Amino acid sequence: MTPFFRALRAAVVLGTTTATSVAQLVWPAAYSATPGNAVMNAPFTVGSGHPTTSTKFMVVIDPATLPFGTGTVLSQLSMRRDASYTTTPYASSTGALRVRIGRTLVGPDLVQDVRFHRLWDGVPTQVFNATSSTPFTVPAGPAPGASLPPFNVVIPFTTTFTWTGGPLGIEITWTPTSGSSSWRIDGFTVPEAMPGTYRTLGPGCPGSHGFTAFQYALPETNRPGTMLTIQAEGGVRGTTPSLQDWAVHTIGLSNTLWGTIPLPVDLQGPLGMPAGCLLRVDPLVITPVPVTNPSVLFTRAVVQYVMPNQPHIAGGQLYSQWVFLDLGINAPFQGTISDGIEITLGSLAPPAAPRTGRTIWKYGAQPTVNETDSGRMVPTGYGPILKFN
Amino acid sequence: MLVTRFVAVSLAAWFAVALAPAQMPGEFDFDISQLTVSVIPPNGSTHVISAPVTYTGQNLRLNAPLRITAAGELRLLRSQLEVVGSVTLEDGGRLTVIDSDLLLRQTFSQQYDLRVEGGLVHTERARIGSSYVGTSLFLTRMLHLRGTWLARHTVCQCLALIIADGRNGWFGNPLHKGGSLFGLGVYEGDRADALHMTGMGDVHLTNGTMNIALYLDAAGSPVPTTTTIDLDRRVPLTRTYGDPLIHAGVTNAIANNPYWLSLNNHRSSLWQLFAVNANSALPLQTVHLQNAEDVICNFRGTNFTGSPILAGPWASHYATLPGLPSTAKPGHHALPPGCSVQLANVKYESGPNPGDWNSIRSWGIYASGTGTNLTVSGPSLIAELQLTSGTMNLSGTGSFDMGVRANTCRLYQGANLTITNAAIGDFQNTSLIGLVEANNQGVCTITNSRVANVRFRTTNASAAISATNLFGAENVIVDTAGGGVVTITQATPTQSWDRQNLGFESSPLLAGNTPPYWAATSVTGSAVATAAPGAPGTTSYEFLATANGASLEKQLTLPPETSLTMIGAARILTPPGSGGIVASMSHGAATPSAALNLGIVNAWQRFQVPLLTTTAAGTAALRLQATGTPAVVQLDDFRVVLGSWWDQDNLANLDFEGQCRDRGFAPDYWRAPDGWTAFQLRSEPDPTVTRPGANPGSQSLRVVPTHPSANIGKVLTFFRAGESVRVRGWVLGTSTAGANIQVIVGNGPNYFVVAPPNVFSGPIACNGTWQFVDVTYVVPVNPIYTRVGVSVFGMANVPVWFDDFTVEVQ
Repeated sequence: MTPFFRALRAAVVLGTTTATSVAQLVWPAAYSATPGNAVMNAPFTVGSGHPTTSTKFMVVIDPATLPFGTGTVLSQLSMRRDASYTTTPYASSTGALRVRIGRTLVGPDLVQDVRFHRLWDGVPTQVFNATSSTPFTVPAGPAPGASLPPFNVVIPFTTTFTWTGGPLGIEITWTPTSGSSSWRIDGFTVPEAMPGTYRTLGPGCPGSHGFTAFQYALPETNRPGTMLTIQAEGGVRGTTPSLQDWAVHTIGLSNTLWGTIPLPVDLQGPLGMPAGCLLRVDPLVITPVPVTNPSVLFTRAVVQYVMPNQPHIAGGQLYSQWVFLDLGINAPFQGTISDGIEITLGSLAPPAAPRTGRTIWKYGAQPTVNETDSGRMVPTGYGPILKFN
Repeated sequence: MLVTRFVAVSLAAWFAVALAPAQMPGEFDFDISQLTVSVIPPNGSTHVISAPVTYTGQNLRLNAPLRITAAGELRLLRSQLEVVGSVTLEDGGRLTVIDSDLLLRQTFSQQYDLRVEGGLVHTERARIGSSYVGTSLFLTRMLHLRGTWLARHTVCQCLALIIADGRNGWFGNPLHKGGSLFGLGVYEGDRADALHMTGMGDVHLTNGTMNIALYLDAAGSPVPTTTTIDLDRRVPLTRTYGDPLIHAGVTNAIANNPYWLSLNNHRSSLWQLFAVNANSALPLQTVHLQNAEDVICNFRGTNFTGSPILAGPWASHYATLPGLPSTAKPGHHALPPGCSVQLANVKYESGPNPGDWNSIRSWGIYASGTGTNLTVSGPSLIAELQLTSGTMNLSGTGSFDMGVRANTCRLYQGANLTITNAAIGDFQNTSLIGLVEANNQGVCTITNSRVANVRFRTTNASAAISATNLFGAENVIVDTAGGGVVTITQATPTQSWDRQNLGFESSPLLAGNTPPYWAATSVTGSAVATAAPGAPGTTSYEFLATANGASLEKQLTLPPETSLTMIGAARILTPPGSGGIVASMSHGAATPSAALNLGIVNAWQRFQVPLLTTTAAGTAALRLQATGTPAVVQLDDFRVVLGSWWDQDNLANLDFEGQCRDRGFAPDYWRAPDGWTAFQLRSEPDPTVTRPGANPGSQSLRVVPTHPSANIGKVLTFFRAGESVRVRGWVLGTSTAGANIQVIVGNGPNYFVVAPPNVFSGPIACNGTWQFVDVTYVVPVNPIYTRVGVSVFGMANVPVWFDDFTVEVQ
């Protein structure tokens, strides 16, 4: 082995050793040596047209996932650029940067509020505050290609923070010295089942009260392994018990053929429904459903079907339509029909697991201490990949 | 070859960038608004969607109203759509907003509506409501009249969701009695208003945080009723409101409730209560408030007469009684145990337990009927007002302490509204632009009031808004584009009853060469093209005394308890042979004055007349007088600073002899001294601990920080670049390791940054003895505002005391 290769091997070993020790403080730990599966624009990407030139994020971290124990004194936080935009370099920029750390009222699973200041449990510690007169520099982030970018955004705390347990919140507010800035950081997300979708096949026909019943599938239910829930609104409400207290739901596998009969079919002829009442689905399963009257004004009907916990049905399509009885209709068949919808099932729901972290972000944030602004968040676990020292 | 390779690599890289998707997988926080705006060309004066239309990954703008008709569907996927106009969803239509924003772009509150007349709104990981225009947000009403809103993880930004209106439908339309909302994660965005449970719809909210307005039908029962409503804002609630005689699953009954509201782990951080259909002729409906912290209460009904009735032991708790008890400034009255306020047949009472305090932050009054003749007098904050016919009189009793914030203040038909001694608009600078609007034959008459951040708007040729003696009139936005007249009466050049021409910029001079808008006695002079350092104008007035006692004077009409400070610049060219040149103010027996330094000749000097506080309604005189001749002095840049206890942009209560009326808001209750703001502390007057040499009978301010870092402060906007502001005062802290007090004077929102021009006293020892502080701050070029603050560090829950501060311009 030549001296060159010996040196190279030593460097690799040293690098591996260093990486191992650092990996203990990367959160989430699984991403210490591999790029994240998500991208975060906040906090270092700032665009125009917002009320301010500040961008803010706050990540709430599940304490069980932190790579250190209670009593740990944190003195530095680092981030790295994303690895998704492989050919896009990011320029260096300067600006005001404030970092606050503290305990939050709830962990990531229970965050149900997007107003930043309401998430803190008590007063967070301001661990770093570079103002416009003593700005922080975000270093350049070269295009990474296939490499794992380094944690080169290093924020050394001016006040240390001791984690004493509980969910941890980290809030970072960035205000570039001038103009906008674009610098995406590496992030993670916990893959979740994608809800299915639905689309309208065509309208129903109006009832005696002038309204046309319509339906929808609750988005979180239209995927394998759940209880598909379809609700319909707008049938006529009876004032006394009658047949109007029932609706009929039909679900099928086609919107083009009912056996050999092309769809849609005008039900005026075969059933004596009012004109314009079109059957748009093949009625494979027919279910009578009692209607409810939550607001004493109109009927609502809800039907549920067990969706098999089978991944292969993801992407499959179902077709749904309702019939409402309407004694005010002047037709041989006193009923109306709702719109038809096509339901496309989403992906298989994964086993329930706690969220590692949850992030709220805001472009055009209030940069001062007295904030009352609200951000946005997604239901998925989502956050930056952080390195703690 | 190398060149060819380079070009190939470059092209590949360029294509990679150019063809990269706008948003990577997992890039949830992608800022769609940074994409190039695509304007949707409207297909008519109203853009109509009558078939499915999908936009994906676009930043869209529609400069027209939008209507989605039956069989029409607008799908926004990873897109943003700003609409300059109202959006209407008709029955049978669909509006789908997934990973997207649908925002109405408005230039005043409720300019456009999001109107759901049926069909389905589906929002998922979405934001819906108003878009920012600059730094302002203007409220969008979402009229949910029929149909269903399926909301998943949706942020409501500056949105008021209104579920129709009563049992009869929106404007009497029986088809529009209220829609349904199924919310899973509905969130309170910036300046979100509330979900108003006004009609017969039903709302299901799970795992979210959004304000809720409950409605109580005051005409629903033929007999008197008493209802207790728990308005806990601190925690998520699980309960179902409704009328158990009608609705299923009710856990919290509200008699004759037309709507059904189900909360499942949902939190309302701000509750509103609307008593509707109130009428004096109907049986009394009593609402016991429970756990009410700064809720918003409202009366809506017909033919209100008389005044709000305060019952219970109010006088045991307050020396001054409110008009409508409010805890937002200028109001300062919580509801003591056993106390109530009643209007028509609706009574809000503190309870249900004998020791319960409750608090109402502000009020809304919605009155109709030609028989309406209502008077509200005393400290209050009325956030919203709607008067349809009839007469209403609103007046303060202290210093402009009838607050009319005018989120909206709207007059319809022949309504006649009179406002006196009031603070109109948003004085808290929350970016809200208030709206006083006269429609139809509505008439609004305003006298002796202050205004800030407000628009006066008329929409009909017969509508009128008139104002006299309006402080801040120069900042009112006037809008008469729809017809009608807005008249803001100011002094004419020969009158001297307002603050015009304090800078001596107006021309021409009056007969005798006296300045316009001033009353002159034995004065002649001229306008000269020179200005005091830092003054905003270019001219000054050269005052020449023609007899002993020569003076310039103004008379301001003010309510009681109003503070005045007069600051100005003068350059003596010829001092009087005897006597002096004195700036003064007078009201009753009080005549504070400041003599010019006759030893400074041919150089500008600043003067500051000590604070004057009116003791009764009446006039206060502002005067510059030479008591000898010859006296020639150039005058420039006078500033007359008006102060009320409830605002901070003044020099009132520097000595802390005043009260602490601002109790702060839940959950922190940072009680502030009059004329100051408080951050993370509670304060109260303390006559038992005063500084050495304090006047007998005086008091200090006792402060208890609730956090390790706390402060009181004043934001002062009237200083000029180059002025020296000297701040002196006394502080006392007890011995606490690592703790200190600091006086900080700085510029703008970064006043606390340790860098010029900001000045710090440095840590003042908390050693159990009073410490004197003296700092001088020089107002920088392009000042934003000057903040004077006293901060306490490291002493959470340990009291400190402040006393006898002064702020002098030099």
